Amino acid sequence: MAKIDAQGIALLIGQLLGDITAVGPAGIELFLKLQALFNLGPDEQANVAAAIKAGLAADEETIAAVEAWKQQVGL
Amino acid sequence: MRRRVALVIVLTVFTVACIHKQSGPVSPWERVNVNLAALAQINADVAKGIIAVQQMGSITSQQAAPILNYQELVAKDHMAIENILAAGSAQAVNQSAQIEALLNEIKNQGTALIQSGGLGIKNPKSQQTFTQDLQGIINLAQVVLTDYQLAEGK
Repeated sequence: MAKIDAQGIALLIGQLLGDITAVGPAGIELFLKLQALFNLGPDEQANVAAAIKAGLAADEETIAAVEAWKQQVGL
Repeated sequence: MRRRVALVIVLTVFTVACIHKQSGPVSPWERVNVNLAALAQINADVAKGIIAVQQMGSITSQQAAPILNYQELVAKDHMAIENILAAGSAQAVNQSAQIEALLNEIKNQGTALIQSGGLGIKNPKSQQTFTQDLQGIINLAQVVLTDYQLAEGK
């Protein structure tokens, strides 16, 4: 494995912090949601049920947001 | 700007490529359902992003409408797929043609929307262009289709 010195670590942390600031809270929020989704527990049935629940909640959010927007703009 | 896009793409690819399980291998059904949930989540963020840029005045409501109609179609198709999958794997196998048709509809209509142009503006929710976001949804639909066919043993 390649070694990394203190200066390298400081540079890496600086770059990561810069990137996180650049992406902004919305990008990070999506990343965290996806990361939570992709970390599975040991029980297959529970994992499938949790994924279905998360997917359906996202669909409801999408449909509600689009319908509210259509009403707002008169479509 | 390029760095932001690169980071989001790297993060998304990293997470999509890496479904982690605490113990044992990830089953085909877990893969199908988790990727479907990711598709729905990204779709929700694209819809909210389009609404945000329209409300900021970057695009007109006429430009936003076909994209949002597509997001709603994806959400409804995804709900229909999930309702079949929630009934269990045996039911899903019986309705495999319907599941494949819904996934193909998501892919084909998304591709047509990208080809119609005008989606080069940035989604504030993902920091990618809407073309890239929609391509992500299309790619995930293809991943789910392939996983689903593997799960079925085709």
